[in-house]
Amino acid sequence: MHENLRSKSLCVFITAFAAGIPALSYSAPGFVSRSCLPVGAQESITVDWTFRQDLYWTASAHYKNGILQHIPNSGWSPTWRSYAGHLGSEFWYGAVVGYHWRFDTRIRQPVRMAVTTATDCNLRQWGF
Amino acid sequence: MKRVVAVITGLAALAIVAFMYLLEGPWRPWESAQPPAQMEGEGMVSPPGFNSTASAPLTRNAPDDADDDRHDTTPNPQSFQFNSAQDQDTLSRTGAAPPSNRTGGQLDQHSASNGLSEEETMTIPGTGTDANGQAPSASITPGQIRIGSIKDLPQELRDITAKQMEDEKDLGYVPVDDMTMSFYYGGYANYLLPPQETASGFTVALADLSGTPFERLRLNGIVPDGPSPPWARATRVYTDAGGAAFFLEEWDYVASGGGALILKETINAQVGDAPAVMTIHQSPSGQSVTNLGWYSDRKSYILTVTGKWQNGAKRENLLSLARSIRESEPSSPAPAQTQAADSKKSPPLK
Repeated sequence: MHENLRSKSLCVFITAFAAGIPALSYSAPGFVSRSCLPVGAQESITVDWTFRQDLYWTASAHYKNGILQHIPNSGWSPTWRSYAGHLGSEFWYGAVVGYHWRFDTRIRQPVRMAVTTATDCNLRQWGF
Repeated sequence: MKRVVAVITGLAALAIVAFMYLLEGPWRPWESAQPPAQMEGEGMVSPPGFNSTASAPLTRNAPDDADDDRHDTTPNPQSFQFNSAQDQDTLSRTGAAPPSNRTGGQLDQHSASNGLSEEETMTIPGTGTDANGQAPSASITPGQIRIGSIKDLPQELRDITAKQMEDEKDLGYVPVDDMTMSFYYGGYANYLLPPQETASGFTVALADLSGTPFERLRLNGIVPDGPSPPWARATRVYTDAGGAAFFLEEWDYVASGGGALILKETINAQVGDAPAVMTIHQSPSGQSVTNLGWYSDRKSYILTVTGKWQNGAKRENLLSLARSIRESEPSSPAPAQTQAADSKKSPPLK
């Protein structure tokens, strides 16, 4: 009886984590946006994964019920991680559009790097 | 007791799964409270004025809008506007741009109330404004590289660029921090992946370097731009027998929806037909690198080498190395598959 219960519990446990793992797997880039109700996050982030500092600028357009609320931006700052948005204060699922810029000081050029969109917590993208 | 623990464990696991699906899953009961939104692609909800990532076509070198007028005064009438057959490609992009007539960097409710348009062009952000309260900065269109002027930059970037050029004139280099420099002096090893592990993970088609002087260098591996694929940017790291390290960074700015503005005042080299920019960076500890950047009609290249290569024979060798790069076709396999990691060693490329 105990063996049976243990086996069932183990199955549930393994199944649960097997189902959860894909949602946690990281996939990539140095740009991410997320709209995440549980943690009140509407944000966009630009990351240099090699931690090299440069001038980055990130903006994050936040939509609630399809209506644009605001577009906070990071301003230009020397960093390896540029953040724009709000955490712990905007509890909704909407749409977030992130604008990611870099002034590449290696070649002295403003570079538009990416525009990202998200309508969920976007956990598949790391971008912490 | 064991049963209780087992049941609690199972329930906890289920709770985790339920939470994950609440975060990412397709079913969110509270969404029904929102007004109907246009559904596009695979369940992607786009705000007004935005297309989903999958469906929006982008034709490169589309007619410029009025905001581009100020960029027509390029130093070269050819103005480095690419116009190859590839320009007819239909590309996916990852969103749309805010209005280009806003004050640079001041993205506020006012500009938002205009509705974010589907314009491709985006003004270079910044906080500087001219006497009329208008952003003086230039705009950048995805998939395009333009030549502009330092005067086209927002004031803060103008100041930074002027300071850098002044430093380079006075000191012979641009000061950078030690942490950034440490990447080029061994730190890259922490991010290096063997070429075979990255062969299929790139969205950028890496240049075919077979038959080029790169073959005389040792390919140590590839630094991708994130912890796992897909990668839009890659840096191949080489070393020569003399200890110099070479970093060839490639980025498919077209596929990434990116673009850039080359500042005419900073152009000090040429790679093939492309204008190029060479800079020297040095940290307080005395470590230095030489950067050489240029663009093809699809990719940006930045070739960085440890040490100072801006003058004489070294400069020519660096330029020669850059010119040897042949861009591979987008559909061709990454050279990581064609060039072994343990390429033979060679004399220093000095």
